[in-house]
Amino acid sequence: MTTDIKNRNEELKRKAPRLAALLQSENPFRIPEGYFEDNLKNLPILTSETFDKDITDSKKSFNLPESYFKNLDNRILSRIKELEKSGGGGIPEDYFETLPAMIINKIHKEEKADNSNRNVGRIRTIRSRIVKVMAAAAVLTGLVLSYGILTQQSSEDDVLAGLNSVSTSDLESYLSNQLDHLDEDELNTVIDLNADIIPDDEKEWINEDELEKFILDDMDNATIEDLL
Amino acid sequence: MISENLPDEKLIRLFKAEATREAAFAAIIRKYQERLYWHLRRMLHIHEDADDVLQNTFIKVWKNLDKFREDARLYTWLYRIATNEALTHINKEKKHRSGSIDNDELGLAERLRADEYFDGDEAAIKLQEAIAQLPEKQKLVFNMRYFQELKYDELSEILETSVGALKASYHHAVKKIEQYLKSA
Repeated sequence: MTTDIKNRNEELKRKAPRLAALLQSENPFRIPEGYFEDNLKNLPILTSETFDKDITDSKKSFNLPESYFKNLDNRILSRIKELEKSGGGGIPEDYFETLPAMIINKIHKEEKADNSNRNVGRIRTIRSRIVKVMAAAAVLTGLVLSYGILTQQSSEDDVLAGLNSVSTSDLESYLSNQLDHLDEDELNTVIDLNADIIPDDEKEWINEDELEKFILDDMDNATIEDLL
Repeated sequence: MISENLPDEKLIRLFKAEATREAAFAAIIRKYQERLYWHLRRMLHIHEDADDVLQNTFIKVWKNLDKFREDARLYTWLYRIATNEALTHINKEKKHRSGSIDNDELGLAERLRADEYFDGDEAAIKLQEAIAQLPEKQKLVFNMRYFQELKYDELSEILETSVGALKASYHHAVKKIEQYLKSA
């Protein structure tokens, strides 16, 4: 044992006695039978003083397994040869020549699959989502405002809070259930998507007084109660 | 067959010559395989992981030994490659495991108990957990200083850190392990 190692061990016993005691135990790590080959006896004794220990010493904390290293050099060389054969991660021949056609085919396949699986209740285009959300928003706005007006408890904040509490997915779900009979084309004839549907300026939004007037003037009591 | 007892400079020269490349490489593997294996095994704990990373290490050596400038010692260069490969493996494993335990000592205990090539008792498992809870650098320094018995100047070359910083790392590592063992 070198002086360096002796000093290290002494210091360890002083500063960390529990650790020092545990480190005296045998090496708990084992290697599979046959992992190291019989080369153990022929292992190089290195000239550097750090490595002048006998690594077959059974008192050492590490068990030196047998046969792990059997043909390890051959195994590694075979693996390297395989890698070199396959191009070591290179690309197949004429990869770039065929790539554009492959991508276009893939796109066509996906578009076909989308078209054939089209489901009115689950239209995913942005256009249809806007249509459905707008239609639901219009219905809900009317419902919330009319309820507020009739109970005389509505304030702008209450109305907005009521509208905000409804998520987009809830709106879509409501529409899927209620508006199944409508397809996108019919909805589009009702709502002109080319128009600026949502005004940028809040002042142009539906005015509460105008809506109240519309509901009270243009709908009879029976209709309002039906909505509730 | 080329003897692995040849000095490193000779082995490197033989590697660089086309005719003796493979034989020299095989000699280098035989010369350093055990030390590198145990270095990796201490870091990775499981034999299969150490085996994988050891093979990856030597494949990297094969690809890069031509460029090795010999301003460093061959074995410190090998240790550096092995260490980096092991750290890459550890980081990959951490991403795959569910949960986000940074030091992962809970998972380690289970893996060791399930490992047929681990013969340690609960005390030995506790020691491995204590080491595993260290920050990566301290873990490396402790393992390489204690189990690999590397000198500080060799560690400095491998880890590209000053001797002073390494001594501090080792000191902190020992303290933290002892604290962990006391509290366990």
